[in-house]
Amino acid sequence: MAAHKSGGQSGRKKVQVWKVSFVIRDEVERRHRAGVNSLQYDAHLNRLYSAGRDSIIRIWNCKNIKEPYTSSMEHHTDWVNDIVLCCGGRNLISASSDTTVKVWNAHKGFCMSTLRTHKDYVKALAYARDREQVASAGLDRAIFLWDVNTLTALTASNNTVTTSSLNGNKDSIYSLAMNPSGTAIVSGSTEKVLRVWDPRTCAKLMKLKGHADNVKALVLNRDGTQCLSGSSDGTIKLWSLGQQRCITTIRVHDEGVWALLTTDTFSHVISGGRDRKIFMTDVRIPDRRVLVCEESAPILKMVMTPDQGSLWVATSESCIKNWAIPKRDSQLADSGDEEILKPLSLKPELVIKGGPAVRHYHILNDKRHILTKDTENNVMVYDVLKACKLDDLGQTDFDEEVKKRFKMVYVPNWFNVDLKTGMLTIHLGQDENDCFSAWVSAREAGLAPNDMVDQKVNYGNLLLQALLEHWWRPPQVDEDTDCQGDQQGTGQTQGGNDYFSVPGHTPVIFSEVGGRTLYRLLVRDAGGETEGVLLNETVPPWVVDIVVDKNLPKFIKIPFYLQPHASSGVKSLKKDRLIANDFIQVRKVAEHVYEKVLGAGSDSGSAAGPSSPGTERTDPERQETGSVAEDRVELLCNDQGSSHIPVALSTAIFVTGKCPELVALQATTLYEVHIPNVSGQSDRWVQPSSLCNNLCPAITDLLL
Amino acid sequence: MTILLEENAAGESSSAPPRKKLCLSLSRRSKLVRVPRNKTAHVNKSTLENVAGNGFKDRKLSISSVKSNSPSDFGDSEKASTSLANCEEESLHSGTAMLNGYLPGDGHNKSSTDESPGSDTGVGCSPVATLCNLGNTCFLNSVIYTLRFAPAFLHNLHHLAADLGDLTSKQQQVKVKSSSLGRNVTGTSSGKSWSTKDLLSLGGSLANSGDPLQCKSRIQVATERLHDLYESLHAAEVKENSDPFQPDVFLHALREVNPIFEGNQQHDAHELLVCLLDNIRETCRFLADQHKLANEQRVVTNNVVCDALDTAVNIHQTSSSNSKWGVRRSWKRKKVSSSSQKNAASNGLPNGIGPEHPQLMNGGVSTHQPVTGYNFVANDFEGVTVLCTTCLECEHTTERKETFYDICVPITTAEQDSDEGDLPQHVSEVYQAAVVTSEHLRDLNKYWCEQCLRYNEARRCVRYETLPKLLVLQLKRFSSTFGSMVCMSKVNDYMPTPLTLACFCEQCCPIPEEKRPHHYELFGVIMHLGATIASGHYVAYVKASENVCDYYHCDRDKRKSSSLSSASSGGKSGNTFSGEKMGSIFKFFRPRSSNSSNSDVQSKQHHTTGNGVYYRHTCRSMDCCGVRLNRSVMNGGDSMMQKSQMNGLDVGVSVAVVDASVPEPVWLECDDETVRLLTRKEFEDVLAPKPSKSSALTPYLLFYSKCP
Repeated sequence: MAAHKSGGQSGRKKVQVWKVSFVIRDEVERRHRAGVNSLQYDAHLNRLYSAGRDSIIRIWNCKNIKEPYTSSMEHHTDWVNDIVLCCGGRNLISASSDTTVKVWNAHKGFCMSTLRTHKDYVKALAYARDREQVASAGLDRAIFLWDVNTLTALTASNNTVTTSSLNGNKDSIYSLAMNPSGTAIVSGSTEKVLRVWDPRTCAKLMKLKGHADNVKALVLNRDGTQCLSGSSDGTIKLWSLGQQRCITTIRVHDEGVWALLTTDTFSHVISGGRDRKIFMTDVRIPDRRVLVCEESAPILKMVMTPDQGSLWVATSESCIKNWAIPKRDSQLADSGDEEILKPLSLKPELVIKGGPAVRHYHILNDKRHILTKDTENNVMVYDVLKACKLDDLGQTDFDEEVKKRFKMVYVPNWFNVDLKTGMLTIHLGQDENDCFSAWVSAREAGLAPNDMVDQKVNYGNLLLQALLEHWWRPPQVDEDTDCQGDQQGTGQTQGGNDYFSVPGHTPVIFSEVGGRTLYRLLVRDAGGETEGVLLNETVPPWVVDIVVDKNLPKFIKIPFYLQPHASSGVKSLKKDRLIANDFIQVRKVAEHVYEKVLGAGSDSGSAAGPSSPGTERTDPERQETGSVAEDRVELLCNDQGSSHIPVALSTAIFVTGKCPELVALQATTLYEVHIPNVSGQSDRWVQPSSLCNNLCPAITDLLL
Repeated sequence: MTILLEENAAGESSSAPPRKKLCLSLSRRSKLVRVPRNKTAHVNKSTLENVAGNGFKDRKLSISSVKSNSPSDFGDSEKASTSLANCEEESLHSGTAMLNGYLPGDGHNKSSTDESPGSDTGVGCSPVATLCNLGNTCFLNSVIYTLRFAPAFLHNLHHLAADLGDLTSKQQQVKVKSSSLGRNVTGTSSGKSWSTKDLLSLGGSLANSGDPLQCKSRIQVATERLHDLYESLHAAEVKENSDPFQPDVFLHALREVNPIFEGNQQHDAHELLVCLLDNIRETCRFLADQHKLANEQRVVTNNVVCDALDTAVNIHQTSSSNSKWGVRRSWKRKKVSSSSQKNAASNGLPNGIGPEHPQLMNGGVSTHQPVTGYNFVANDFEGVTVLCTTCLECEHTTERKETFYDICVPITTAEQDSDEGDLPQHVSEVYQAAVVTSEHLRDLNKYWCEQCLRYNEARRCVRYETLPKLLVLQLKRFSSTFGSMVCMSKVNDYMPTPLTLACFCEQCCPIPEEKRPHHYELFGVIMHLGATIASGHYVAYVKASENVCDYYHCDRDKRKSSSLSSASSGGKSGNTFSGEKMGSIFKFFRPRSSNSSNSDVQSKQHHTTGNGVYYRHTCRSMDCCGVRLNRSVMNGGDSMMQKSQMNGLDVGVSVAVVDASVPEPVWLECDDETVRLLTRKEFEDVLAPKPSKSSALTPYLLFYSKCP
């Protein structure tokens, strides 16, 4: 998949990359995973294009309704809000919440160029067929006019395009319409007024007031003299642009009208919206109408088949259904209420089945596995670290499963989860959830065999390396040669980590501060020449540092105090503040107590252990100092024994309800570990109880 | 401080004889001494909490006794001198110089106050009692003035204080009994007012022993002292003593609660108002909570009494009219059961105590009587605002309801309005537009939609589900937006202050203004003069009214009066609430009744007792802390309208008379020591836009009451 970057006006600037994201998904997603925002029908090829909230535009072959899936057009990273088919079906233009407009080769399904002029979600497109002109508008209140022929001619070298913008909108634009001859363009916005321009001159023509809420759907008639608007206030209004006034108000919907469609002659309007109903109404006699069908979800978009006999309907659910519409007037009732209530058809003619969208997730305590539940109540297990699905548990009890998989460990949060596309998207950033905050033992994580020397690994570090595994380091970087010597055997420019790889089809997304997408590519494509160049421009320094320079992220230190337990009778030693990495095993602290504080081997009265809670002795014959220490010294954290459990300091804190009151007890001597004020500047001793009260929130903030 | 002084005197004189309770009195003494010290320099707060509580309890009980003595000037001055001596003695004990320095001044002040009624210096120059400026305390005075004239506020506050007093004494009684300290309460109670002292010391020991009383005390003290303050103002008005009253005792109590009012700086009147209402609300809440606790005790300790009384009553009543009996019984039963759940009142007083008056039964008002812990702040000042957020993508709306006590109104000037041309024509619409707002969440401030699982644009509206009976509007005059300095700049732009405000609650908004079921009428304004919040001056403008109708149909008083009369068989005796409870034991009401020697009151009393019906319909708390306008001044100001008010007052009672006969309200300009009468016209002039924006006296807090 080639990616032609075309700059538009803003072009690609050096911007600070905010986060690196990736999607855990199947290689081929044959079904929409969330709602479908827009549809286009290609009459020549009988193909249906659908713009999914899962960021994928899919092409369906309507002749083969058993297996309609043809291909996917994947390059957006957020909801695709609108699509238009132009150039007689050769090109497709899409608008997305990733703030871009993309131009596609519709037949071959690849992205030709990306337009980045919008600053916010692009919500609507309008197309003037006779002039091959497309307009895009969005929440940034701007409307841009594009010449399709110019857009399709863009190449990597010739990547500038001129656009005219229509100004004057004061509020976010949610709908846009242009007549085929391109003589009028209308926008609907939260301003509740329709604004009309002449796209040829970019001159403001008029403002039409009348709606009481956002205008979400617009249709212009062929000559641009009449306009139909559907609003969140539940009404459809017919406007005369010549008279600059509303001619008719059609009230058929109970809730907001989100989608409109007219017959060729502009005589009938088909409308759908939040109330899930589709009505067909005679524009001139609004009482003459029929309820076409009742969908299962709010209606987002409708397109008519070429024979004008049926509709393809997209809703906020992933299925796309085809409904028969009445053959003109004959079936339209004269406002007989009973008939209105009864839908014309109860069953859709055809259905393109959609897949389930992930709606809920729970990050397990190990901060590596995620349980999800989708719209069909299927529970899945994902491994974030390896970017793959582990298990499909079917329709089981999600909460039960969460409980079952609870582990007594503590690992800091190091990623964010996003479900807006209905697929699991993981964000790695350096915000409040620093992706380098999770240090774990490789052995515990199951990454290294047990016989190996235990190594500390950083989840974020490993994952970033795996995601950019195929990225060949830029030859022009000077340090390259310096580093070469240090690396043994793995190939001078080979990335990746020593433990695992992620699936090659995983999309990796770089986005800038504020969330706009900068670059998207698949893991396996990172080795390509074009991709390499773009990566060199895009990959932020903090990732380069890890992936290329192979530097380790910084350890996280926890300060704490060690104190004999009150019951030990031993006078408290010096109140030294100790600092350790948060992944240090509590056992190590016990060893420290044994070796440094007590002096190894000086434990004569070991047998007379006072009834210390949680002291379970297991084979006292072990030779290692570690195990001796474990036998001789018991560390208590909030009265829970923890030195026998191979847990890290951070886990010890977590286990005991995040209370940093660690008590060490030797067989005869108990020691307490205090974790003082996080900032560390307060060196005064505090009572354990008050320590809990005062310091816990701070500690928690630090650790979580 | 004058009150504290008297109370010391009372307490001291009464406690002096029984020296056997040495340790207890000693402990108390040291505390009393420490209270003032704490006020000036607050060290060691936690221990002083108890102290404050004790002091307050002491005061609560003793005040009535003090008041009862006050009418006789001779006795009063004598008291003052003794108290002075006592205090000096105390200060000797404690060795606190500060106290010494503090009290004499008060003593001096007090004595001069005492002389004034004779000299008649100030009679006739002020419509109501006035408040001293203690040094930048106009923020305090303005709020006190305003609340005084807030409909139903004084009345409710009175009963709150009364209930609090009841509860305190009740708990102490219970404690005495249960702890079996051996002091046979009823035995020693005769005649001597040992109670103040003893209960206090007992209270102290209670507090020290970790009684729940101790943690609440500071807030309650402040509430109590606010009531005391109003009581003093009332007393001054009865005596036609026009010397400004010093609200220092209350101020100190307030500072105990909230240290931000420490020091002699100017403060935000709004902040004070919020603090005051919070205090009262918390006190109400406390009372309600305590009642729950007390219920358990009551089951043990009081049920016996209650039952006994009940049966006695029943016996008594069966002998009388039978026809109404069934009704009454069922009513009573309901009441008892309900009160055992959570309400009630002076739970100490068994609900069924005393034979009810026939009026009670006829009145039928008993069903909705307020109970102890009746949270009138919540009831009168609390409104509910609804925050609606609608995702513009899925159009799903989430609502969040919040309660509020005042509404902050941004100053919207005419120029600020957009080119849309929809300028609010009517004054009320200005407020509605400023307050019922809609906001568009967009750009980087998008809304996380739970349905879409993403950030979307959203519309957020603020609506008002219910507006309180007493609506407080704070005009956003102070903004720290420009200038990085600490001092906040003031917006001096004119904002109209309508005397009548259209209601803008959810129910009313869609209805055209004339047809809305309710509206609001201005009863008070606090104006601010000056450039910043920390400097300048506050003046309160209030609608002059004795709010007589607040006091009609007061069940709380009725019940108590009935109990009183049953206990003392003297309907006209009990004017004090605090006495009434302990009436049978402490007989505080006796001296109190002599307070009504004031001709005015007496005539009224005679009058009312003559018409028993009327008498019982008016809560006597009116004569404790109610507003009493100086008739001569009012008449002088505007004879015609005042006459009606006077009539209303003298007849004292009939709602119809008062309501119908107040055609044109007069306004009072309360500027610390000077209270001036304004006609409506004059008042409107005050509120009218001033030519010079900078130095004008600008409305800051607006107080509206709901009509009807």
